[in-house]
Amino acid sequence: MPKRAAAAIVTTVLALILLFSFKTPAESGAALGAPGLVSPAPEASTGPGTVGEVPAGSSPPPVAAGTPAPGTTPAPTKATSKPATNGSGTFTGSAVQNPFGEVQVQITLAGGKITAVTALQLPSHGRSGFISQDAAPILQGEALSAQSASIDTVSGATYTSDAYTQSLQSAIDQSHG
Amino acid sequence: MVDALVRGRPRILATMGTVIGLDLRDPDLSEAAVDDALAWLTDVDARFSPYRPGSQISRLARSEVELDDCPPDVRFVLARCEALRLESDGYFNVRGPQLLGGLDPSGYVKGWAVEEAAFILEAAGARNYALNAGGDVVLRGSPEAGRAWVVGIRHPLEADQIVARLAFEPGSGRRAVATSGQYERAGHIVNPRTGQIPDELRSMTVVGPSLALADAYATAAFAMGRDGLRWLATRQGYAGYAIDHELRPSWNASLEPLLAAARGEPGPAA
Repeated sequence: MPKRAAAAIVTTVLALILLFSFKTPAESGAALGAPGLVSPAPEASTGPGTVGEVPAGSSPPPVAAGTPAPGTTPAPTKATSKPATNGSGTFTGSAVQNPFGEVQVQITLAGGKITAVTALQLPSHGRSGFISQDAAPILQGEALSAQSASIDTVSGATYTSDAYTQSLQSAIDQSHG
Repeated sequence: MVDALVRGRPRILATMGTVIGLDLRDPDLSEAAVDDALAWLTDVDARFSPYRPGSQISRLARSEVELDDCPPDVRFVLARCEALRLESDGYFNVRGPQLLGGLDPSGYVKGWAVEEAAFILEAAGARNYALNAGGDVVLRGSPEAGRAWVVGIRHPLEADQIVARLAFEPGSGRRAVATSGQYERAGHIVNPRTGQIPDELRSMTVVGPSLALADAYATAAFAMGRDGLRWLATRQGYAGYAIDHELRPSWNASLEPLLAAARGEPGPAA
């Protein structure tokens, strides 16, 4: 019985993680306050890589235990567990495909409560097909400023002649002069 | 027309709607070779820009001339663009109603022209240089003996910050780094299959031997969104660094040695 319950919880957590890992552009764009970025109308969000996409403009619906996230096909939830008593232990869900590769979720239960959720990243197909991912976003403070990083030149999306004067590249060019 | 400033080194040239900077470390290279390379870029801009009504591309778009009547390099560029459209399953596409005049090969022309400029410099003997065209870079050799060229990848939202560094081994052969994103010129890339502006990624940086290809691949992989890195993994010799909408970085494993080298770690023998 605890095992079945754990399996159900793993499935739910997995489904929720999948849902939340596909925040709609509108939501996340607003949250980040991205300047000058054009997002398409929410209902127009289509295209490749829509696996597991949350219907735009709606909050993720509550997911019943054992219900696959929309658009995904989680493998049958055969959760493996270390010996568990009284709803405690570590449980690993089945691997599920997400756009950056396969993801597997591990949860730790203590007394029937989830105490830790870990997303395990699995190497995707092929030698060269490996994709590494840092789960955490690059926070402003973590990014290297031009002054602290020794760089010779900067790659970025094409700037206009006007924008050049504000660019990092311009600062580097002048430092050489 | 030529808005060239000479500040010793680097040489800066405003053309192609952006600014091109040459950091040349071969002390003996003639100024004439540098002039030739920069003049070539100005010439390409005049003939290939869709923003110039008199350019061959604009005349072609207005059907004033036939492709067969265009100079060989115009035909070559458009043939390469068509090959890249097929190679990228339509994600790289220089034709479409959403594009200026219905024909805008800029996504290939810039990388190609800058790479050709690098060839002009190399023909004159250049072995150590970094040529940066509005964020697309072709480099070779070393900035100084024993030191690696280090290229920063710009933070998509913070113009004065970088999110990662790539170090090319000292004495490197010719290498290219190209980035596509919407943060500088919003809306200039559309998913040619849906007509929508791609929004899954903030930027896509591609590293490889050819700037012409790296530039086009970056455009295509950016439009592909989350699938872009998977596609790049199938392009021999090329690797990508993507920053998604939530500012999460991902990269192809084959890029890891360059990232590790920039962190100062002994990378695995390539």
